[in-house]
Amino acid sequence: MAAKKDPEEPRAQEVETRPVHEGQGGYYAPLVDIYETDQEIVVAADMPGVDPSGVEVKTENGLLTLLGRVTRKSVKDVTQLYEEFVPGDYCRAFSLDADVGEGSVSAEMKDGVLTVRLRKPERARVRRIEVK
Amino acid sequence: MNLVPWKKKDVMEHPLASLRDEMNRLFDGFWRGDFLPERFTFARTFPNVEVSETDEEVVVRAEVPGLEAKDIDLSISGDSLFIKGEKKEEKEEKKKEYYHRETHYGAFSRSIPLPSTVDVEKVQAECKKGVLKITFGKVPGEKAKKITIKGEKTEKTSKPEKGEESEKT
Repeated sequence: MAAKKDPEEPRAQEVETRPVHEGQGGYYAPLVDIYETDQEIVVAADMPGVDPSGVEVKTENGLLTLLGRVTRKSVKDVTQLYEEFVPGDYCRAFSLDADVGEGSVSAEMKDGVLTVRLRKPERARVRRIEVK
Repeated sequence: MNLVPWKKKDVMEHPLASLRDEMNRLFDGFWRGDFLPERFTFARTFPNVEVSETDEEVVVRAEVPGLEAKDIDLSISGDSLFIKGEKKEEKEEKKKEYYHRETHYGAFSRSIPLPSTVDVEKVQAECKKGVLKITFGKVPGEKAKKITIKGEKTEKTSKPEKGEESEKT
């Protein structure tokens, strides 16, 4: 499932997502930014329309899965005049190097952006040494 | 014997017509910026919008993840709704190393044409969960008016019925 591309590719790699729930034709892959700080690896995904209760973040066997569900109010008699986006659920998964999955994971959902922070295990954290 | 594709006369097209159309589309798209990487078109194309209408209201929704009400500047001028603002980069965390960057940042400014049924006095906007929702009331009494077309009267041929256009001879 996880496609290992080049060994240079750092800790989080994209993995094919497929619909896991019946009745769901497919998911949107949210745009993500992945960056690393001294203490953690952060994955920020754009999921407009999702509130904290609609979010599912899972780490299993080195796989990080982000799922965001949009609550759609069905209104009768609506005419679509112009449509650049169609509301839908979001899903995207990443494979993680073994050491990253071990640390603690936290997630925050604010203004349609899901931010997942994975703490790096002790040995991978950078401790900056001051040079006097 | 040559096999020539059979086409009805009125659908006869020059064999290169579709090529010509494709080339036209490519060139038009070029000037519009279709081939530019998204960061160059961000200012004009962000955010994605969706406009829908019910009997009572017209609703405009825009996807603005990461933005709050205070980051967006909304105004109406003439028939258009202007959505402007700036998506700022996170400054809190120092010493970041990006390895994957798909979102875009920067100033944006878009104008959305509004249907004429919109009443610009009755408007409400809210920004929640990264979606900007603007609700307009509608101008009362705006219903589609049926226009009857008067046909031409001709002596020889039968008189066309009211509401039908007669053929020009």
